[in-house]
Amino acid sequence: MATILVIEDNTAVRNTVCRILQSGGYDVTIAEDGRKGMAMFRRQRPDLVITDIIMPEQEGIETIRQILGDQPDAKIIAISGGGRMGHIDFLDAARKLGARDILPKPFDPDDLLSRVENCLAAA
Amino acid sequence: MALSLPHLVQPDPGIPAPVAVRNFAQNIILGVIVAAIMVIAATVVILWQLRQADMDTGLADLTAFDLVLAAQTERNFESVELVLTDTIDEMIAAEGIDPDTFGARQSGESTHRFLSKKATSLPQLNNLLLVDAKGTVINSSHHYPTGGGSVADRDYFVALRDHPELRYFIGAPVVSRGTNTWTIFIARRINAPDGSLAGVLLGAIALDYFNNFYRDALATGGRSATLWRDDGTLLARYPMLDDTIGKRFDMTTSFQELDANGGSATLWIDGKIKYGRRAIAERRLGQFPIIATTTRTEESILASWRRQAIVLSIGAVFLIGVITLAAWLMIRQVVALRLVAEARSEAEREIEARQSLQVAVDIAQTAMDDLKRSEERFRDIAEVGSDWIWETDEQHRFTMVAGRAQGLLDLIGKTRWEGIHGDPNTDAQWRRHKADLDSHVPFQGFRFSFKLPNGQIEHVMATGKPVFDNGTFKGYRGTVTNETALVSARERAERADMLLRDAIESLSEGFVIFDEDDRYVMCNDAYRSLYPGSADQMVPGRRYEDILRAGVKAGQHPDAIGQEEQWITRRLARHRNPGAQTEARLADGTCILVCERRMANGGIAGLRIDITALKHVQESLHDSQAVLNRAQRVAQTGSAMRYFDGDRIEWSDELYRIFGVTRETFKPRTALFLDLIHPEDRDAVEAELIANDKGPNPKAMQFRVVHSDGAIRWVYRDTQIWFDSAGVMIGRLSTYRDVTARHLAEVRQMQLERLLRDAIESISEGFVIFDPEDRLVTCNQAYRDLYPQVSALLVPGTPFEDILRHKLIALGDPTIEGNKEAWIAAQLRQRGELGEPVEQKMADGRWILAFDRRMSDGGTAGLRVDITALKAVQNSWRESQERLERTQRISHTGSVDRDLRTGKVEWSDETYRIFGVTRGEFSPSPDTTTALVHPDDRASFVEKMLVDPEKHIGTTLRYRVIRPDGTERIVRGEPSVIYDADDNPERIVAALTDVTESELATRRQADLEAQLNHSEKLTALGTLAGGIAHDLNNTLVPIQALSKLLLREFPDAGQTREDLETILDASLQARDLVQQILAFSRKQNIVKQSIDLVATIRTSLTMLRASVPRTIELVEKIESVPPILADNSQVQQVIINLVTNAAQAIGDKIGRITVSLSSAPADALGRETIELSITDTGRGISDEMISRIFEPFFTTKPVGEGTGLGLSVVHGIVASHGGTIDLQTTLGEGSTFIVRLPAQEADTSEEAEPRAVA
Repeated sequence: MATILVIEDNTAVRNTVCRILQSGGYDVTIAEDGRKGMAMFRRQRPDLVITDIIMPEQEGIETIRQILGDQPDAKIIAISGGGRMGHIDFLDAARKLGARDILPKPFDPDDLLSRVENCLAAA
Repeated sequence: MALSLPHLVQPDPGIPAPVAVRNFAQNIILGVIVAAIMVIAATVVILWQLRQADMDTGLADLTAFDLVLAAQTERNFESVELVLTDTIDEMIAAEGIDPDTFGARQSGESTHRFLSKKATSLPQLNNLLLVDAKGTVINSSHHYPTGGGSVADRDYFVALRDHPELRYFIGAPVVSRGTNTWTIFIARRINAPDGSLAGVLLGAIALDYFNNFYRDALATGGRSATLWRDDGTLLARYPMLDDTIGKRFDMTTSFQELDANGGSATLWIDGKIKYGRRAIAERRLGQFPIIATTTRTEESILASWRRQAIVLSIGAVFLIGVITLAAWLMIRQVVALRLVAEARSEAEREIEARQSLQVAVDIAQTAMDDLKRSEERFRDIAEVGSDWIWETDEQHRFTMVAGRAQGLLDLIGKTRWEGIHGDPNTDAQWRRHKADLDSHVPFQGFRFSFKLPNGQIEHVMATGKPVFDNGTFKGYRGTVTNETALVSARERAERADMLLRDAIESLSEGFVIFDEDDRYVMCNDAYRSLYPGSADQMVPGRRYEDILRAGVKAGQHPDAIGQEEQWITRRLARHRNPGAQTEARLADGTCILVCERRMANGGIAGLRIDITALKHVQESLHDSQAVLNRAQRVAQTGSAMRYFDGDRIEWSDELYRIFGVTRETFKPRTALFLDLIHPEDRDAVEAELIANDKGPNPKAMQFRVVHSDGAIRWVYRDTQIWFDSAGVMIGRLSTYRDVTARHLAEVRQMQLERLLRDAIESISEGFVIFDPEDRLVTCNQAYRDLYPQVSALLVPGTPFEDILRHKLIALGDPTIEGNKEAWIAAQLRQRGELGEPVEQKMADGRWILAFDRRMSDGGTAGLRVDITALKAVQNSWRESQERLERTQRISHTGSVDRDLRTGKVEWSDETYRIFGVTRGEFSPSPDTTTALVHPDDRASFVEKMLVDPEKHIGTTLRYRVIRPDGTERIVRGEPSVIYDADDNPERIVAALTDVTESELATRRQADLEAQLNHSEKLTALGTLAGGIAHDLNNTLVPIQALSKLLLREFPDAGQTREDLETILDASLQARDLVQQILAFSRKQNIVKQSIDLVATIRTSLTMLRASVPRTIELVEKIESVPPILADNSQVQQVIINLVTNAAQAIGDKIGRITVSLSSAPADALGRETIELSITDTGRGISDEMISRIFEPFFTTKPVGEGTGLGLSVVHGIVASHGGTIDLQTTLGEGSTFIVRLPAQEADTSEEAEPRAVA
């Protein structure tokens, strides 16, 4: 089964995303911020990364940049609750940087699963 | 299934069971009907409400659209009218009007050119025609020379000629002779100086212009736009219809409505032109006798409603179908169980009948035994022989009597008959006896009876033989045997025999007895009638085998046909070893039960019971059992019946399945049963079985069963004791339900519910849900913490009003004390309206922002955000400003005056105060002064103030003073030199200001300003709203997602599912609420695409012209600019918000709004920038407000008139497009908002597209 790394600072959101992904049958590992997420990514090389944008320590844009710098074909889905700078900009930025897909919070669990599935099915 | 089997097996004796079943079925059907009616009613109500909402929205849309249409059309007419006026004015100015010469002078080519020039200024103006007072066309802008046609008969000419008071007239549409298109003429009267008619100027407007305009404006189907003259003449219409232009329609009714409503109206009509019900919006074009109407068919307004209606109706029908199906299954189940119960009671009755038969057989047996005992006694007596010995003489008189009877009767000397008072003359018995005696023959067994003196009757038997003495008869000698006991035994045996016969005859079952030699003794009629073929053989002494063979021959044993000998052998073998009951069939189809028993005497008693009915019952019981098994299988319910008599246990098929064993390999025994139980549950189950299973109150229990493959099933067992009619416990019926799925679901549900609760609790903001009756559903700890006074009430079910009242009591606010009820009523009313977020001050001084939102089910979801910190920043800034002002007000300035020639120094009082010394004790001089200056500042102080002040005139020196008491003051000094008459410096005068407080305040203010700047920046970027939105969106993720997941766990309707749907709805409502407070009016789907700002601005201004007051001039200064990457509707919103704001800044006054668009120099990043500015001549914005105008919820308008979100929205949109917004304002003169947006980069158009997933 595909492995997915979830980088998200909010515990409740992280648990929820994990639960949704596990219900879809994926192996899920988690990280609480971008820095830990980056370390986890290097160690595990997951099939897909789902990262929040606004996080303490190291925010998501920088994390996406580092992951793609490390592995240009890495698959990333960016999620964000919007806010500080208008989340569309952040998510747009994430997409421009190379995130395969973006998803504003809150989201429908089926939506998340279908995006993950599409992402993983793509080359 | 809520029904339990035992209830049905033992129905309440007071109510006939079928009635109970029928009532149950009736109730179910009634329930289904009620549920169906409720579903239908709810659907109808919802559909009606949706329809009303759609109709209202459609009407509002239509009105707005008509407004734009009317405004645009009016402007067109206005401009034509203006050109006409202008043309006439210029003609008058150039030459004046002489009615006599007018025709001749104006028919020249110069006038034609003049008209041509005028006509080209407006696109909709096709032609300008000049007509003289007689109605002859004398000139035209279109061609020269004119044909000189006459318009004297046209309606406009007639109207203007006959009515001098008319300034202009709008003619009915005509087909233009020149262009063959529909045209209307605006005719303008040209007056001679004396007021008489000099001529008429006609402006021809091609109606195609309006048709095209309406076609462009009407995007969607089902709409129409029409232009009317107010007499009902149709001027233009889109969609165009043949033969309608220029026709008059009776519009009286709808135009009356228009005049009654001040120039605009919206109503429903049946179409005048096209049939069908439609909404019509009408608006009079200002001063013109023209009415613009737009219509929209009810069908198009209700199109989306229809789709909803179909979906809802299908849903309702489906729901009713599901309910009906469920009810049908339930009734079927109950009927099946009822059948089983009836079959069982039928079987019980049969068993009772058999038992009573057994009693009869036992009585017969006893009678037979008695008979046998009597016979034995008789034989004993016979063996003992005679009781008396007697002798008689020749005359038959007794000579000797010896034996037991001696003394009982006085017989000696009497004959036998004399002794017992018999009479041979009258009694045949005695006559025969006397004859025998007289003929001297031996006699034997002569029986007679007599009565003893004590009344007892004796039966005796006499035997005698004659005694001859040498041939001479001498008399008789013999014996007498007492037969009294024998006779009474015989009588009793006869009675017993009769009793037996009566008994067996009274049996409805066949009864037969064979003796020990297997010979027929007797039978009853029932037996005989069962075997009509062999009835003639049933005579005492006939062997059983013969009777049987006769029966077989007669064909009354269908089982034997074809195998007669074997069958007879088997039957005989069974007959000779009786005991087991067997069933047999008879020729007429009757089924009998054959019971044979060996009796004590070795004979055989046989019983034939007609069990035909029982067989039918058994068969139907078998069918019922199969139905029950199927039902149990479906319900995953097995049952076990344990009979206490013999401790027999019967399991149903499903029970074997539940326990994972088969009927073939597993025998239901308590000990074996326990082996199937999970080891952890085994003790509890065993204890229950021992303790209570035979008791009157068995308990239900749940335990685990381990299958041989290791699978664990959860089983729910319910037990009921079964009593017979006498109230004796005869068995125990247990049902076992496989509840594994339910149990797992429950465990799962508990886990997920805990997770969900945790999710709600994890929100740092207060969160609460009230149901439609305004009772609390749930809230989190944050909410309870906010309202500690009423935390005890914050439990599900508490009405909001109760919470409110307790809060009021707890707060004890004296201002409310007097009119509590009014306050509560106001609060509840305000709650009914909801909508706007409200700031609330809490009892402990905290401030919260309260968002309450009506949910779709009528309940209320509330959020409480703590904004105390924000409030504090706002307050401290306000305070610091006041302090600064106070400081400035009380600051004093001192002075120093030094005479350069005498060196004398004069200080003002304030200077002493500044230096912290007192006049008299301190003598000011350059040296003493220098000593008080801070060592670090001394050098510059000496240089600038003492040594060479002249060089530093006009500059200020800031230095520190250390007062004698050690405190430090900051002083600002400004020297000036005073010259004498010879222009030589005479005195140095310095003004000293103690700026310590001021500087401290300034520094403090700078700090606060920095803080505020930070806060402003955050606010301006929408951080308050955005931050809340971000956090709320995060917290909404688990609520929305997990409740959605949970819904899958509960596919069936039920309380849990309803609750989950409420939570999901609330979270969706909360999500929408977040979108609102976000204050970024971005749409859910922002589509950034390459747009041309020029077109966007023009469209926006078209819309705005309708809403901006006429007193305000809208000026466009628009240059073409490169495209930008933006969301068109958002940019429109920016323009609309800014222009609307500008119009509101101007207010009722006359003013101007200038909208400019231009390219600007590249920004810091080297991107080309586009500058959009909106300038108004309004009141300007004060400095205090500038910093706050972009804050969400900041407004200068009265409460309720503005959301305070407009500029915040603008800011959010501009920021999201990577742009900036600047403000230039002067109080009383106006403001300019400058929006700078980056131009689209040459290669970004592709990148902006969603990246294809390859």
